[in-house]
Amino acid sequence: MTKAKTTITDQPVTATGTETWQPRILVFACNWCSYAGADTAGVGRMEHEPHFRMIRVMCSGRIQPAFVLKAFEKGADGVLVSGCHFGDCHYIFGNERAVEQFDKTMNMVKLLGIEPGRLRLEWISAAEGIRFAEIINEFTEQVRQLGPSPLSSKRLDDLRIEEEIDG
Amino acid sequence: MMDAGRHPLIEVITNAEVTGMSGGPGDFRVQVRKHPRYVDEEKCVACGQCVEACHIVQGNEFDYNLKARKAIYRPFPQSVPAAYVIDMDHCKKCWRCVKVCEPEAIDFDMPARDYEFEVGSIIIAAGFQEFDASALGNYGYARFPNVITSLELERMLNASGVTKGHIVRPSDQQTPRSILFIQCVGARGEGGRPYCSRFCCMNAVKDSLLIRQHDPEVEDITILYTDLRAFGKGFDDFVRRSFDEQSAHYLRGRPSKIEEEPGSQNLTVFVEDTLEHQLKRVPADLVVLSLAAAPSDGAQALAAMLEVGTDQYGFIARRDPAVSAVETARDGIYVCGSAAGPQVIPDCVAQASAAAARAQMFLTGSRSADEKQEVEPLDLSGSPRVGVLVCHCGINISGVLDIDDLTASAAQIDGVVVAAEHQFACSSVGQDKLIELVKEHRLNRVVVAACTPRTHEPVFQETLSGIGFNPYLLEMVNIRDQCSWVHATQPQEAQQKARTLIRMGVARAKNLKPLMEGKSPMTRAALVIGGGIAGIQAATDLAWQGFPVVLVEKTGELGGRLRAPNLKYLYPTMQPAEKVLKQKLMRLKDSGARVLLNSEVEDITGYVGNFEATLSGAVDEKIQIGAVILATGADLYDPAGEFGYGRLTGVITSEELEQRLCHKPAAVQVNGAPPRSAAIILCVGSRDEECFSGCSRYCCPTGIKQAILLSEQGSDVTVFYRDIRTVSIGAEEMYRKARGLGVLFVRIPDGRKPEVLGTEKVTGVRCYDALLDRTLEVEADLLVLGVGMRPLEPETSKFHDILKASLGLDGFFLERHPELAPVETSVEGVLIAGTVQGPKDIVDTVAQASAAAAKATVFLAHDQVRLNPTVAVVDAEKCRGCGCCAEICQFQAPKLVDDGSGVFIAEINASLCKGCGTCASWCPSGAISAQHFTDRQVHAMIDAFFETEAAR
Amino acid sequence: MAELAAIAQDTRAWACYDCGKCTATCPLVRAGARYSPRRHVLATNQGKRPANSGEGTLFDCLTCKLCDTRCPVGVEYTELVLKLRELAHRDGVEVECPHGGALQSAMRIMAKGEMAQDRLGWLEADMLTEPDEGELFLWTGCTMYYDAFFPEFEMDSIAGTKAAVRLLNKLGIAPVVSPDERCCGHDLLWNGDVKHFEMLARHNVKLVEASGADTLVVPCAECLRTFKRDYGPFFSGKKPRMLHLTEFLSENLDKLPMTNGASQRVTYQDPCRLGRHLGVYDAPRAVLNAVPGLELAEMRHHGSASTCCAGGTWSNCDRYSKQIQVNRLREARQTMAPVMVTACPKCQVHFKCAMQDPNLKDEITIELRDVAEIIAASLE
Repeated sequence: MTKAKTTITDQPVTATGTETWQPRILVFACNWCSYAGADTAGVGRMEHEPHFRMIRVMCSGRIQPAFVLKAFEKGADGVLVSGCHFGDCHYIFGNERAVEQFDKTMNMVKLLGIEPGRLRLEWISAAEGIRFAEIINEFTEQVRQLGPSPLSSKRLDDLRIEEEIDG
Repeated sequence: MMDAGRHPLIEVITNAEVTGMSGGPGDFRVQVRKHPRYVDEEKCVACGQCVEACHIVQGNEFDYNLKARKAIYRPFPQSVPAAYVIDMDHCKKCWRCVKVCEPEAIDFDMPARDYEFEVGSIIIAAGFQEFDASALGNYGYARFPNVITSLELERMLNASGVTKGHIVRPSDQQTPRSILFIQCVGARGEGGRPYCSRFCCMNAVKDSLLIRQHDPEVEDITILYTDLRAFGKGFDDFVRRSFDEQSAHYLRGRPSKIEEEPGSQNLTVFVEDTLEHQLKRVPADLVVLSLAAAPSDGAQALAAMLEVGTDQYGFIARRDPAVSAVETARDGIYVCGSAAGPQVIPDCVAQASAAAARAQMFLTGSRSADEKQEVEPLDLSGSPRVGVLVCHCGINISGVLDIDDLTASAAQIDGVVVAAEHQFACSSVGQDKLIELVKEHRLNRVVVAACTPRTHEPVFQETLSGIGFNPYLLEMVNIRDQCSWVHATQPQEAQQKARTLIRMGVARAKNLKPLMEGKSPMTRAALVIGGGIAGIQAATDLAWQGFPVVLVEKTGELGGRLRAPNLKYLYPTMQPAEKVLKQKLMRLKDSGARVLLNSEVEDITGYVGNFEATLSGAVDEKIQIGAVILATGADLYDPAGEFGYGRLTGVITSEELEQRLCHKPAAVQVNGAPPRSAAIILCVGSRDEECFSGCSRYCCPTGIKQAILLSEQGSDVTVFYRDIRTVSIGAEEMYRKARGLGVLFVRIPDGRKPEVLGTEKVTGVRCYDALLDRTLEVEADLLVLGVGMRPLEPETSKFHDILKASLGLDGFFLERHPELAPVETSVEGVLIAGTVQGPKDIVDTVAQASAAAAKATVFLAHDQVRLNPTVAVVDAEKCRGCGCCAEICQFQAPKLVDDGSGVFIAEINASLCKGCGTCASWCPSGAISAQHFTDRQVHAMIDAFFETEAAR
Repeated sequence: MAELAAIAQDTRAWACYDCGKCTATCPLVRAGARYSPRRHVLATNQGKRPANSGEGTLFDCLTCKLCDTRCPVGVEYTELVLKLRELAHRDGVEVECPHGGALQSAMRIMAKGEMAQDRLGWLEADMLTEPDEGELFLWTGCTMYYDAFFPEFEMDSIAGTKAAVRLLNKLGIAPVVSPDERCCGHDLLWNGDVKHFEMLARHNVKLVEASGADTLVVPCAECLRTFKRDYGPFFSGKKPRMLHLTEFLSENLDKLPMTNGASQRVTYQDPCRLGRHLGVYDAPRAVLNAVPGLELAEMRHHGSASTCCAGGTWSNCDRYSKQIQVNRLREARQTMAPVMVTACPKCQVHFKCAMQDPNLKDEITIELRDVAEIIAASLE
């Protein structure tokens, strides 16, 4: 293993030269349907927006408000929760539980003043590669229209306050 | 498909045909010829370089030539094996593919290979082919571009299909504003095919809903039908949804011809709206022909080779179509699915399991033992030492992503001690490299950045297990399927994404915990509850395989509704029910199953592999079993107060008619004389929102069978029906026979009921006949009510309470999945057979019973249950005993127990937990953690994402 | 370990002579938990950090202050826990919060600010409030969030907030109810997250100061404790008078036309923050006793001996806190009162949670009401 010759930083790659803002979207997917749907999009080489990162869980029922709120807290511009279509859940009703968790999360998100458009719930089957790609494109565009999450640009302010406290 | 492809005991030979067979049950010798695919399946990594290189473009047969493929191709994206195949009819042997194939998998000189297999049983699952619609000239298929078949439509509707789920007209690629479905094309007498294809009605209903979803521009969908055959469980509810959402306009009538308007190529369909009594010219932009299923071309030859014969239509012949869906003329050879005639998917799957159950009778003694070499586990304790292996996957990943940058970036992550790369991480060389990395760097966490964990995690886990490395300390990062493959045009963004994903993977890896597979003993015996035909069949199948079986029957006699005096003849063969039952009972006796009459199951405790049942009645004992088959059957609807039942003499139920047939085989009598006229009203207590919204499935053929019997003894018979649903084998022919005998059929209009005439005794029935547009009054000395099925009480509630298996909204036991798991319940090890799951007739009941037996052997074949460790576990200190987990779990895994402390405590049974993690997300105190998907692991990934990519 | 020595000094830990009375007093220990306040005090005195994992960690403490009231030498164990948690948080100790930490995330989101919350959807047409300025500031707290997050409990804690507005209106006051109010930071502070607490504190103090109010009325015991005890350094000018809603009402009883006889028996749950932390025991009782016909039946443990709701800081939810809640609800049921009145919405959340128990619910279920609701109902 050779260490990199160039200095690797965690700064975003900006070689495109265009400093246009791009959203940071977190996608939660269930193993059996929506994650598989994303794979199907891959097998079919269905190009789509690249600004999302995915976390796989076994069932959408596992996706709890804490995960979504944490993502927003950390500065996510959008969060997509996805699972199997009704009737297709590998665990019978896990996705129906996911709806309850999602509704709860949405309640909180609205109260907190985060635009509801930054959070979305979608059902995507393992076969629906195209649907996956379309939803990603659509949601990315929707979040792009909303602009950066107010929480994502707060890091500097945090630092300022820390300075204030320390000083 | 993938499960079968990966199963260690299943060898999949594609591109092959059977060329000969000799021997008999228990030792068949089968010759198979595998045609060359010209690509070595072992070497091919499905990278797709060859497809890029190939310049020969062909229509893809899988997509009905609606989509193109190359001469080297995969028939469809999920095909198994995941290897390409060359179409030598079109290949020009230009060698372009050979040059780009890095694993050197392509071999133009690959020969055909001949195999000979020694097998105990054979199962024919050769399927059907669609009826050739061009044979029916008046529908214009192949003449008019905008007339397509249901299967072509299906490819369009498929989200990953030719038009990405959108419907277009072949003539101009425009979205049609109006679509018209024609049902029964080539079925129910048309094109020489008397039978019903079973699946087309529901398919059209489903398509109409899907089209509405995908293409709001489609304004009208019309379905031309004759009888709407929504006979399966939940089908009628589905149709109702279509009605409610107005997804389609249903028009009863079969069209005579289709005309095409020159220029626009729009179509006009000529059809009589039989309910409105007028000829309509229905304009349509697109016409879809719901095609009948026809036997495959090879069916005759295959049947001849296996000496099983075909039926009059050319499907593989069943030995006994009234009783068994899977038995052929020969012992040891079974058939399932549409090879024996058209089927809907739930029936196909049940039959497949049934065929497997029967096939196993000739396999006993040759079960493979559970052997897995134990390897000394490596010491992986201490703070995380993560190794990252980045795969090039040929140029699949490296063609888009800069692998050096990824490894360099990964090497800098806190906790990563080594980051390396490899051409093909999944190849044997790649796996060796992984092992070397683990040993050299004393890794205790491994991150492989390559393709999807869904296909390759097992491969890497296996390799790591092989050296004693706990496989749950592996994390896979998907930088191929979900990165390089889908963001090829934005390489910088893809690079950033891959870096972040690796960081997230490392973050999760650092929080992974080693997990150990648990084991729990399996009691290799089964309990079958209910001694009707389903219970008899399930017990027989299991006992013949050598498993101890206890069959418990509440009454003093086996046979349930098949037993005299309940049922006289079986449709469509008119075999006496008694004879069939006698045969079945003989088989049961020979099987060695222990039969307990006059006995009941009081209680069942435990879980899969370890149930304990308390029996009472003939014996008073507790028995240990590994699996339970519930076959308690269904009840019949009690029509008290309806249609004069109980008030007028001469009004009886269909079952009472059978009973009379049993007592007085010569003739059915009313007041001492054979009835001059008889009426049969169908759908009594079925398809009725107030009692049972579904179809009871058996009543149409039974009613027709009874109409024939009554007609043959000289009565004038009228049948009042809503849709004739003669879907079972031979039933459509029976329907025709009844009409030939002069039985009158009157269609009951929607939302109305026939009116029964008479004061003390029934004299007739009056009903508006929409097809005739007249109110009809027929005489009837005898009125037979075709009563539907309903859940048997108190048995259903009792076993629901005892076993906690879920019930559906209709009150019947709910299968785990209608298509994938039709005989399994929400409780592992509890299976359902027969009408306990929902109405069905004898042949379907028997198939389902065998299927349940087959699923029971999945457990009983092993002496231990292997327990998946990625389940939910409870931290006893934190559990508040609130019961949320127990309430939401569909699998009865968590249970609240009283530990005497004053607060109950949840215990999760690892044998029952499926690892979905839903309870962990509901647990208020955080006492439950979903192993391998813990809060901490997820939070670490979220943190890693946003720490890696600060706001821009 | 000068830091620990300073803490020992500040909290009188140095005075401890290991009698163990705190351990014997601790409701968690009585419920069966293996926990020892004494050992934490001893460790601090020895210059050692109490262990942050395993049994009896700092984050198990309910911070109910019961032991403080019993300590013969006046060790302020609760303050000690607060300080030690700060240190633990600074060192990166991750608390496993109930609900996966969702509520903490919501708090930190509020701390970061920038977004306009949509928190006043509950205001009704008849309620008179001022959005920015006024003489009296009504600090509503986070009841709307609790109701949104716990739909399964059929929470209606906003009813208490609404009642508070109506009561103030009845007294002729249109209070400031601000859309910019944020979480007071109480829970984050008690989880050790000082940074986010201070972000919230600065914002909230600024908000109250900007309103020009000279009186701050708070219906939530936790918010009040935070304002009075923890916001001190953030006020720049003259602090407003800060008091619990029941204190304010008790001063104005003569102006409240309580005519509707409730003629019912209620029992009163002393919130730990209002009672032992702030010493307010009489005001809520005085207000309740003023309702014609109402009979206040005390539980076995009440006033300074009262048991807390065992979940105050969203960090210590387990089977022992459940046991405490169950016992407390049993006590409430023994009073034969059909209603348990509280003066803190958090008590409602935690008791409601306990009452979901499928095996015990028949024995422990009781109607829960905020004191403001009871008073508001007695007006006409």
